[in-house]
Amino acid sequence: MNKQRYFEKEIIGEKDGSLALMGRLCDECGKKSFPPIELCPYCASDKLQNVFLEDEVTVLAATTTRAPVPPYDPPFTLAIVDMEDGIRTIGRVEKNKDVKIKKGDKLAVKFGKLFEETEFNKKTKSKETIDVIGYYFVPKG
Amino acid sequence: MIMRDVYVLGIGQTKFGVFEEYTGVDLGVMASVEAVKDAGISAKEIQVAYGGYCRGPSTQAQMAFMRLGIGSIPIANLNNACASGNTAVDMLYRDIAGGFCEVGLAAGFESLTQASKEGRKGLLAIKEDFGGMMGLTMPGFFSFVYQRLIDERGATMEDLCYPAIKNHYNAQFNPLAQYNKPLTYEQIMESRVVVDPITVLQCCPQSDGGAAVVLCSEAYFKKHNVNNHLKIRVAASVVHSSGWLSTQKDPLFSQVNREATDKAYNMAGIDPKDLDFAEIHDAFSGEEVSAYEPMRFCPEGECIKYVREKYFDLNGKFPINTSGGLLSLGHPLGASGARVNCEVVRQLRNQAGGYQVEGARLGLAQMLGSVLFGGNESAVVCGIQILEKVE
Repeated sequence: MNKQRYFEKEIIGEKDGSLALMGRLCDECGKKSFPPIELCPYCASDKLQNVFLEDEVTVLAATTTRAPVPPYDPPFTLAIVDMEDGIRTIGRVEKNKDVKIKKGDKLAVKFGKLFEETEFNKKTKSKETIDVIGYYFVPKG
Repeated sequence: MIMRDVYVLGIGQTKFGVFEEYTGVDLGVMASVEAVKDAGISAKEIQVAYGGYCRGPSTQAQMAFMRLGIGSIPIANLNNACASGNTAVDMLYRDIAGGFCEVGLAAGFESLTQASKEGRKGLLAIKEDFGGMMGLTMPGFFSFVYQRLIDERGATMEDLCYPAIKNHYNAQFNPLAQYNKPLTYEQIMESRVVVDPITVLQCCPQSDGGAAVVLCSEAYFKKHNVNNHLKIRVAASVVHSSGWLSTQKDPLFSQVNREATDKAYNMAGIDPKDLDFAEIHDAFSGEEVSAYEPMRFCPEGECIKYVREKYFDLNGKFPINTSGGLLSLGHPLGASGARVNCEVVRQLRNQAGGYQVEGARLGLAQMLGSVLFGGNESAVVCGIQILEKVE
């Protein structure tokens, strides 16, 4: 099996044996943010703790890319989605498929390999493949 | 602090297009030489100089300006994406307004032809960017904006292609434009789809070019205006960035555009209705439509009504992108922010030829520079200058 890494640090965590998205909860102003950044974007406090986010999101807008975007081959669909507590973010819908979705649709959060990268291992003096793990959404129901 | 008035003494601009034979620095030199000549001064007079660009090695500003004999003065390189040129102009404006110098040069230049020789095929996702890692691109972001205009403003594809049709029409009168041919709606829609529903003819081209301005104090203008240029004052200069909280907003309505234009209107002491025309960021056709409301060129909720009235035509009530805009004039990233300032000056001096706006007195130059993040604007910068013809 290939080595694995998450595509962003501290964005994914393990909750009850399975993966979940992680945001930050500010102890001072009580607001949540995602993806995790260093100081609270609302009040600049450093008193932040990691929290797991819910596994359902709602589509604001979605669109399909028809040209290659290395390392991705077309077509693929991206959506702006709303999460709990007013968090708005972006993600892939399915991994490599043209998906028809619209505003208001509910999507579930999934985890898996987004792409592969190769890295030179100085110890073994050989190239090795790393699976870059991220999140994506799938239509619910 | 007491701020002094700042005036435009000279402008220079190359033709925009694809130039295999030139580097970005070459294009910066050509524009700067022309700007200094137009100012009617020796390049040795320049007391401070700024260069804006996005691609290639460091210190390209020094590489360019030394070829004009400029040296032993403060020179700085600015990368603020598409607003790099406005940022160069803004830095120079501050220096003169603040009394640090009397005259200086601000240039923007870029060769995307040279830059793309090192690049890969396909659309460019932004490295270091959260959305970019999932395949988000510039047309990808603006396709969300299209979707929101369709959902919330009832826009049709014909409405969203209005700027592409209008700006390609305007460019046929501009000898410096990359493309000089009008386009029909059918031609635009029949071209290749990049990101649904954006076809390639709704996107600006890859371009090379340079643009430069010489700014000075009032006393300097009085003493050195040997070419008898009309007196054009920088009524406002603003560089404004959004922040993380923008990622929580709706891409339908650009918050950074709203905040930056309000700051500029306030600084100039004008109402948006006082403006006669504007040159703005139209990297994608529908993007221009999305800017009308935040920049107060029409009331909130009414952008599509104004599109259907052809309000922003060359002969309309408020002409936008009379030069052909990024869509048809071309978009050498770092050059465009300086170029919009040259365009506004050309209109105010009544030198715009076939695309002249009659009686132009007050014009706005804007560029929006952006790296993507989190599915919405955040690491975005808006540069604006408002220029006024002083009687």
